[in-house]
Amino acid sequence: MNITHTRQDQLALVKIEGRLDAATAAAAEKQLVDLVAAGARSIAVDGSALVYISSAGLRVLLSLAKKIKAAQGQIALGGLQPQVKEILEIAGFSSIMPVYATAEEARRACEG
Amino acid sequence: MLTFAEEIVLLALDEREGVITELPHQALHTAMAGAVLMELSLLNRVDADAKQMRVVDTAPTGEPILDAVLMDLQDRHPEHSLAYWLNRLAGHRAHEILRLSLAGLVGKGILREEKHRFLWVFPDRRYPRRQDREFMEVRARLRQALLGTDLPDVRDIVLISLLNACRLIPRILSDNELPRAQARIAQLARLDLIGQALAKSIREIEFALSLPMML
Repeated sequence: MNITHTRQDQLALVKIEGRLDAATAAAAEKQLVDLVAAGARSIAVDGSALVYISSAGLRVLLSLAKKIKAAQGQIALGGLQPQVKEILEIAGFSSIMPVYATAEEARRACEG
Repeated sequence: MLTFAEEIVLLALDEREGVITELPHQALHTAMAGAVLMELSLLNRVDADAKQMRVVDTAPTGEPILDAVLMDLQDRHPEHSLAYWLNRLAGHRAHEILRLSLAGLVGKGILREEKHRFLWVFPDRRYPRRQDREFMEVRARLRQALLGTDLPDVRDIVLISLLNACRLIPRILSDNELPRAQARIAQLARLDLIGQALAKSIREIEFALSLPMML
C-alpha cells in the first residue's frame, strides 16, 4: 500500500495504491490523520489504484470522515475500481461520503 | 472499558428480573459470537470482506475468551465466510462467552449474581444490576450517537450494528424516538460488515423459529 498526496491550500488530493486492509490500515490511518493535522480540511481520494478494501480499510475511511466532518470539511472518493466500489456499496458508504466516477470529479466536489 | 459482549449482555438483561428475555437463545448465542469477532476485528487480529474472514495476526490479546476464539480460528481452515464462523462459534463458544461476560460484569461490580431454583430443583442464576452507572453511560453514549448528526466513533458504530442485529435498540431509544431514528440506525448499522453478517444470521434463526408457528 502506498499513499501519496498533492495539496491545494486546504484541499488534499490523496492517491491510495494497493490494498487497504488489516496489514496496512494502521499506517494508512496515521498518514491520513497527519494530513488533517497538517491543515487539510477537505480530502478527495483517488481510488483508481486501490485494488482491495476490507473491513479494516473501511474503518480507516470512517475515522478519516469523522475527522474531516468535525473540521467541517468535505471528503469524497473517485475513480474506484469495481471490486472496491462494490464493497463500499454493500457497506452503504455513499451515505457518509460521496463517490464519483473520477478522481477529478471528487476533487471538484471537495473544492465546492 | 466493557467488551462488546459485556455491553450486549448489560443492555439485554431485564433490569428487574436479571435474566435475558429479549433474545431467543440461539440468537443470543450468535450475538455473543459476533461480539467476539467484532472485538478481534477492532484489535486487528481478524479481517473480513463480503466473502470471507481470515486471521491476520495470531498474537494473543490477553483476554482469555478472545484468545480461545483466536485459536479456534487458526486451527481450522483459515478462510471461511463470516456466516460460517458465526454459526460455528455460536455452537461451540457462545456459552463460554456468555458465562465470561456475566462473570466480567459481576467482577466489575456492575451486576450481582443470585442463585435460585427453578421448580425447586433446577439451578437458576439471575444477574440484577448492582449499580446503574455503567448501564446509563453506555445508554447515554449510544443515544447521543443515534439521535445526533455527527459520525460516531468507530467502536460505537460497531456496537450499534451489533445492537441492531440483536433488535436491542428499543432498550436505548423510546417508542417516540425510534421511528425518527430508523433511517440513521439503518445507515450506521450497515457500515460494519460483521454486523451485517450477524444481522442476516439472526434473521435466519428468527425465521427458522417462526416456521412451526406458521405450519
